[in-house]
Amino acid sequence: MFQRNIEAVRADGRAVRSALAISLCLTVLGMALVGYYYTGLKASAEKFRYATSDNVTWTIVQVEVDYHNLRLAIARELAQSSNAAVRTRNTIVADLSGIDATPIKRAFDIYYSRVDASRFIYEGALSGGNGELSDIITRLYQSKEAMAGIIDSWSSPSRADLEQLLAMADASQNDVRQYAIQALQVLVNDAADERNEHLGMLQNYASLLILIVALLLGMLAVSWALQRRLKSKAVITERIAYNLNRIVEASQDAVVIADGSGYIKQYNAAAESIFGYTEAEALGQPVHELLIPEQYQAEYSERLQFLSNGGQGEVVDNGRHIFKVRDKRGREFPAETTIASSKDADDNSLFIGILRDISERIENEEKLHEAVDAAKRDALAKEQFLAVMSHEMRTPLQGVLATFDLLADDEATQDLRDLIGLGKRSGMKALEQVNNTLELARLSDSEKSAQDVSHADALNPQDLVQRLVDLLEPLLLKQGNTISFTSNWPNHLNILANQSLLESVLENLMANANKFTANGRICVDLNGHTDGDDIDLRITVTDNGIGIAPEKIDSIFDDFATGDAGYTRTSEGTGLGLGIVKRATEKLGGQIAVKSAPQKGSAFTFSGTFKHVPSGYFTSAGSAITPEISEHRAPQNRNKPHVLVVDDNATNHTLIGRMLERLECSYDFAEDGQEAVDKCAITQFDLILMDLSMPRMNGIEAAQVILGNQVPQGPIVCITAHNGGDTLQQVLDAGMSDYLIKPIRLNNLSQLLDKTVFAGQQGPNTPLPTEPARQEADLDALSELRSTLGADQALSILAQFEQTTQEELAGLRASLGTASEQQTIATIHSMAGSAAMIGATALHKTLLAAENEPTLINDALLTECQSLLGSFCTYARRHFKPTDREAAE
Amino acid sequence: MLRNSNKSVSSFNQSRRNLLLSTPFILAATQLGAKTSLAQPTQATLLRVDGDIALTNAGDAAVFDAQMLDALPQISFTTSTIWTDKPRTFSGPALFDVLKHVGSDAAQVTATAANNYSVDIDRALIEERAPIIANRIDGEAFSIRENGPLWVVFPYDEDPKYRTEPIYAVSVWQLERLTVTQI
Repeated sequence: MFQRNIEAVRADGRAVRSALAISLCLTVLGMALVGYYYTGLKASAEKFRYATSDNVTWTIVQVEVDYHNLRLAIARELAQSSNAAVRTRNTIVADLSGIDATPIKRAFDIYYSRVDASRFIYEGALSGGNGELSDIITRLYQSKEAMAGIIDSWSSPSRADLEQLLAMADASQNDVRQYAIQALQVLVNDAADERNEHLGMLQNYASLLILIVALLLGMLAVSWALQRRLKSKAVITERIAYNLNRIVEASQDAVVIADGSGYIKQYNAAAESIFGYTEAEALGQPVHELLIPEQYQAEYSERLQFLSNGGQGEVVDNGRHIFKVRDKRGREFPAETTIASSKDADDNSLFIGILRDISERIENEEKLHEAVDAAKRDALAKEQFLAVMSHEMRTPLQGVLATFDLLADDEATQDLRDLIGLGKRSGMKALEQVNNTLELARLSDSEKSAQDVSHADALNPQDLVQRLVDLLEPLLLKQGNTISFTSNWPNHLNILANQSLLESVLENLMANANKFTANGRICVDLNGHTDGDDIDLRITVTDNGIGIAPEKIDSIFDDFATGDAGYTRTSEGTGLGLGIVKRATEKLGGQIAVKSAPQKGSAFTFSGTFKHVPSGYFTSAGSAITPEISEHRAPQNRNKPHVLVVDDNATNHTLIGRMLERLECSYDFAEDGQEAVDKCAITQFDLILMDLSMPRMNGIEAAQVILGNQVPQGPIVCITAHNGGDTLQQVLDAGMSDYLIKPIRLNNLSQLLDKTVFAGQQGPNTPLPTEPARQEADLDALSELRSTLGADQALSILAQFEQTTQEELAGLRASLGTASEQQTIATIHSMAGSAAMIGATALHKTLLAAENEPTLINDALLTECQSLLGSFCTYARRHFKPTDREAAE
Repeated sequence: MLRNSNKSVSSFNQSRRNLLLSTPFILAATQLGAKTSLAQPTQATLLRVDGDIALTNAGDAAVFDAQMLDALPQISFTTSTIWTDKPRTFSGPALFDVLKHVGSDAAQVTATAANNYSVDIDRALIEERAPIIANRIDGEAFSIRENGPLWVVFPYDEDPKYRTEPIYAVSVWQLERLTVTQI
């Protein structure tokens, strides 16, 4: 507004200037014309002033006068001579000698000069005359010359001479008269012409003057109008400035206007209350000294300098920024600040600062952040609690289920079998619930899910759905349902998506459909629609089951939600399936939609947009479910590798040894690091499996010594129950190639051999896929032990383990309080390793906790360990008990 | 236009002023010895000065012959005139000197020609060096037929102020008489 006004004023200024310039030009032009005409007029006036016309007129008329004077003089002389003659005749002898020619001569001379002058005038002033005038003058001149000839010849003129002269003069009478008339006529005409010319000039001059006066009046009018306009503009500008000032004063924000050097020019009421300085105190003071905390003053001055030199800062005219400012009492507080640059009336730089004290807001924001963080921490704690609880529940549950299996194997009565069946089903349900909880927790864990999302498999959705449909078959039969799968998927296309997430979604949707439908139909429809590099994937799972009540639809994706009581009654809903679906869908970047009507059925639609790749781009559609390396596949065509197992635990010796046998390796044992070093000095091994905590010399020292030895050795791989990052880094720093985390499984060992020994001893320095934790523990480990070694061997190892551990626990109990902490820890570590190897998870964990926190080691702990050992061994024996078939063999 | 009648009234006011200025001089001249005789002319009289003059040689008038005029300081200049066909050299005494010679500082001089043409020459027009009473053209005396023998001439070419109607009007030819008037 203000800018626009200034522009308008400037435009007016330009208009005024151009109007003045034009007027000035016209005036100058007019003045030039006036000057021109003035010169003309002046010349004309000069002509009048210097005109000879009066004199010429005089001369002209004087010719006639002098002519008549001449005639009069002659006539007078004639009359006198006549009188003299009469007198003589009467008295004396007549004598004609009384004639005096002097007056005649004098009159003639004058006439003579007059005729000459007239002739001269004719040649000058009367040249415009006609031929007749010229003839007249010529005749007068000739007549005058003739008379002069007569007069000059006179000595004593007689009357006859005088009469002759008079006759000659009389002859010119008409010419004299005509000369006067005609010459005067010429003069009059000339004068009239001149006057007309002069009049014309005067008229032009007057017109021009009128024009100039009109022009000046016009200019006067224009400037008057412009002045009025400027005045009204000035009033508007003043009004705007006044309103602006009112706004500034009324502003809730502090408004501080400073000049280019940073001196305060304006300071509003809000600034007074925010900064504490009165306007009088603030005006004329430098902003940085008054309002900026000391530590920022230098920076501020620098910036101002930069801006004053025409620099373009990132703060000025660039939105809101938060600065620390200082009030009169020295309190420093954050202010949200907007700085605009402007110019004052003299075009000097101005900086307009609008500041708002946001200390309260920031405080609130911080509180909010804290609250959010706390909530996040709480949520995380909850998730972690859930995860831990699930682990802790799954282990005993698996135990329960295994127990039921063992019980069922016994020669139980039918009643007992029924009870066992019921217990087992309940246990399975509980396990499913726990598994689902785990899955949910995994999906909620942002770190883990980030890995999930970044991991994309090339997969063919049609194959995936078909596989899931196949897997569902047994459950379908149970519910009496049929399933149909329709697809328009372009067979040649794979999508890039996280397979396990997509499987989670579809598996749950299909399982749900089956659960809530009895003797009905389930339809799965797969739809793909390509759009450039993208493909829109849409999978709909429809059932004609019990459906969902409209008021429940919104909450079905909530955790632990099931449709209603009826739902849970008729089905095995954990309430977590759709929660998993929802989270997995989100992670996939897709949407899930549901349509349902009670007693009619439901339709769940998963849709999402994925990149597509031609199938075969990666290995195959099912690449992600490449079968794992068969446990039982023995390496073919290899030289038998020689492996050194360095461990101070006898159980581990037996276990690992048996595994190596299965993998067709020969092996040797070392009880500790020192023994390993000794053996390595004389024997060359293809692989050394090195425990860390051992008597005499630990694994890291041993590895360093062995690597420094002359005898070349194969890779050294650490086997440890620790999985802390520091330890593993130490292991790698010591020169070991790899590590395996206990419990060591046949599968892991096989892979390790494949990578290291069989791959030409070029083992990569990357960690092998190992069981991330021991949560799988018990059953898996025991099953493997049993399958690896056979039931008898497993039982014997179990016995060995039980005995060794019991002895060690007894030893610990005996030495409680006397043995050094280090010794105690070493013993506990050894026991923990064995427990991990054999799959005694609970015992392993308890021991591990004790190892990490030696203060926990007391009588109670040892008792607990003994009890855990007992229960484990009882369970394991049951598990290892040879089947009838095995026994028969 | 045909006849301009303002010849003699052109500078009446000027005359009055000059009268006031010149009165003390005239009084002084009168007291010193009024009417002291001038030299007598020995040849034909060419010019008669009468009126309010201090010095005379013929009754109340002062008369000059060619010799007397030649005895006065001579001024000569060459100029064209509106009455002659080419520039001529005119010479003779200044009118100013002639009037001074007869002890006059008159307010007005009336010049009369042979044909009784008479014109008042305003005192303001009479300067120390112009006009002259020319008695020679190109070094020769000139006759009545050639507008002589005396002719009041201004140096017309010298200055535009001499090329005006009043100046032409007082450029009297065939001059015979000057009458000095104290108004």
